[in-house]
Amino acid sequence: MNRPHRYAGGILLLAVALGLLGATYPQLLHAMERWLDVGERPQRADYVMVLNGGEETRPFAAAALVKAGFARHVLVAATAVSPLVADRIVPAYHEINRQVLLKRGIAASEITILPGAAATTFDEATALAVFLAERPHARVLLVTSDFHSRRSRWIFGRTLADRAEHVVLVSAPTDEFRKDCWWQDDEGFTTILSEYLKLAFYVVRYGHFGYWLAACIVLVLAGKWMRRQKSAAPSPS
Amino acid sequence: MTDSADGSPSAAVPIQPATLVDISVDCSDQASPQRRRRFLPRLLIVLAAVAGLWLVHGFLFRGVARLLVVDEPVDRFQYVAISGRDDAPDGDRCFDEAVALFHQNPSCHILLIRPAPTRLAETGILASFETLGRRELAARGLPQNAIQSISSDGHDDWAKARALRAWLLDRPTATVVLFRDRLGSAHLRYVLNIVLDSPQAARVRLRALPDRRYDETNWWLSRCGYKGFGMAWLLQFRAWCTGGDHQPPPRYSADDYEHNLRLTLLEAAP
Repeated sequence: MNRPHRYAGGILLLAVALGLLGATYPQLLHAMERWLDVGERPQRADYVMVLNGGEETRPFAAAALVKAGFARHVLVAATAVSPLVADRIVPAYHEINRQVLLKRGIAASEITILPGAAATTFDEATALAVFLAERPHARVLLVTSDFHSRRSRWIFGRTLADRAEHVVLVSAPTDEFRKDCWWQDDEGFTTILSEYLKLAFYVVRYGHFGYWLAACIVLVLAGKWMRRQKSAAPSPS
Repeated sequence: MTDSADGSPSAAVPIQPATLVDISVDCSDQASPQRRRRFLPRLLIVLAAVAGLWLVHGFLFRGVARLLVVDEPVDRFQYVAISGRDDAPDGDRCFDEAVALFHQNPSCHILLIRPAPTRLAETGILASFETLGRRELAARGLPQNAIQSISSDGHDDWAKARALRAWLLDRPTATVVLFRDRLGSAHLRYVLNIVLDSPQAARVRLRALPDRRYDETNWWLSRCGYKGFGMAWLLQFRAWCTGGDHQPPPRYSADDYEHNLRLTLLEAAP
């Protein structure tokens, strides 16, 4: 194929791709939001653990689960002290969660604060792993925001290893932005896109990304070496 | 291989395989130093580029963060505005800064821009933004009669700007200093310039307050720093790409939220 024809084909393909993208972008963006939600149906368990953050939804969902009889006991990981907490302007996240649970009718004796100073979901997963070390058969409902559930599943899966099968992830539906048009809202836009960035960061920082990268480099180098060998080899004729 | 005119292999000048091998060996022997000659400068260029980037990374990181900061001079003002959420006022140490400005100009007023009430404030778990603001300012010795408040219908910069637009319309000469966390200040200025008309926008001056843990000169050194930087760029990016006002989503009370949750999630209740 000569050059002008090749360019025309490329431009046509690009135009078709852009047209398709323009026509289907709301569905694509909506699918992006749905992909993050891997929440499961709740089952009977020994504990409900509320992940910190999302205080407008998560502790309310945890209280609803307890009241519906799925579990009796609630776990909350103690959080690190932020400047606002240090200045006594607002309470710590775990304290807000505890207050919500109490306000929604959960008895104080049914709430356990896991010790530590969690600043990330990874820290909370570690706190749960320590707690479960003495209770290897305990089943846990893990309550977090719907958009945060995929990353949570990944983190808890890595941290708890075999015991992760005793954990069921329950999504607390967020209502801080409209999910069907999250990209039109500051809160929705930053929440969903930052979740993707965090997911990528976690995979790179804590996942097997290094091994995959090394494997790709080895494959590329091997391919180049084989091509060179082939070009250097004598022609059979 | 040479072919005769009729297409059949020529038997006139047979070429020995050894000759072919010799030729190919020669070619590879010539190509290797050439490749090496090409490869070495390229490698040096890449290494020099990486070293150069490493040397100036601080300069680059500061540069991209400075694009997010708008800190305007505050020489004359009648109001100092504080905004935020029930669980987080906007700008680290904003109450300290407000009191410092009040002492500079004791005739000014502090204006609290109330956000839409959150579920936590409605259920009494957190103090409302106004209660929190009045409490913190009073604790710093500010008289209650120096504090005013207005309400907004959301939690973001667009809601703040809408509330200010209505308030400034009734006060055609009022000048306001508005606090915002440092890396979000350019976004707020962008929003104010869209929502307010030019004379109104000029009457609002932004004071960009640095977080005590990081600012634009060192954000890459801490986890909360690059989180704040990333969030600020996402906000700015949205404003540039799809920038526009939007209506806040419907809010549910704690009881309504739990009721909806039972309907959608708890159908499998034992």
